[in-house]
Amino acid sequence: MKNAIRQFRADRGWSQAVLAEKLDISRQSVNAIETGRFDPSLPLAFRIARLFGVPVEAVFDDEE
Amino acid sequence: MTNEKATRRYLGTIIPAAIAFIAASLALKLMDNAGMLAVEALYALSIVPVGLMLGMFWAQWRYLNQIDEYLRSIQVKGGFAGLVVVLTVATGWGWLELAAEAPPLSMFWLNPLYWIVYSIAVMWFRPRDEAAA
Repeated sequence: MKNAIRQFRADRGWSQAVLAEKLDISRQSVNAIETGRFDPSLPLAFRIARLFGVPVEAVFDDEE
Repeated sequence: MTNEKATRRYLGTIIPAAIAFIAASLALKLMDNAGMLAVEALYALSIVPVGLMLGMFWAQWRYLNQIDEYLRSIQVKGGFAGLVVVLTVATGWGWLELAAEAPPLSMFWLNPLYWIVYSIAVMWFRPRDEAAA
């Protein structure tokens, strides 16, 4: 699934490690989600969107 | 609990348990070879390595419940790979023993085989950093 995490993260000047700490997940998980290798669960997707202060559709795009 | 703390706790449990499992298994085998123990005693003492083996699985279960979902997916894939290999070997060789009179394979080796395959599979599936597109 495509996502805009890298963009949202860059806008805030956060590294993957910082985002991982804010989400209480591993940095490897942030990297895997950001690069589209792993689709997060719905609860984690909402946590990510909430952290960026945007709707979940603004972060994740399920269109191929 | 953080993933790092969970990993430290997991390794801190499973490595000593694995070493103790090997030591207990070797000790029992040596005592058996030396004729030091009656059969009944061997049955009773087999609880020691079996208990240690169950401790390893308990540590794995606890670890699965403490790490995040991506790391958990890697552990589950590793465990599944171990299960597939163990069941394939057990069933395949078991069939050969039944049908082709193949030499018997000790079931003892299935547990070490699981952990070896699981460890290799987890390393294979381990997180690899990639740049976002």
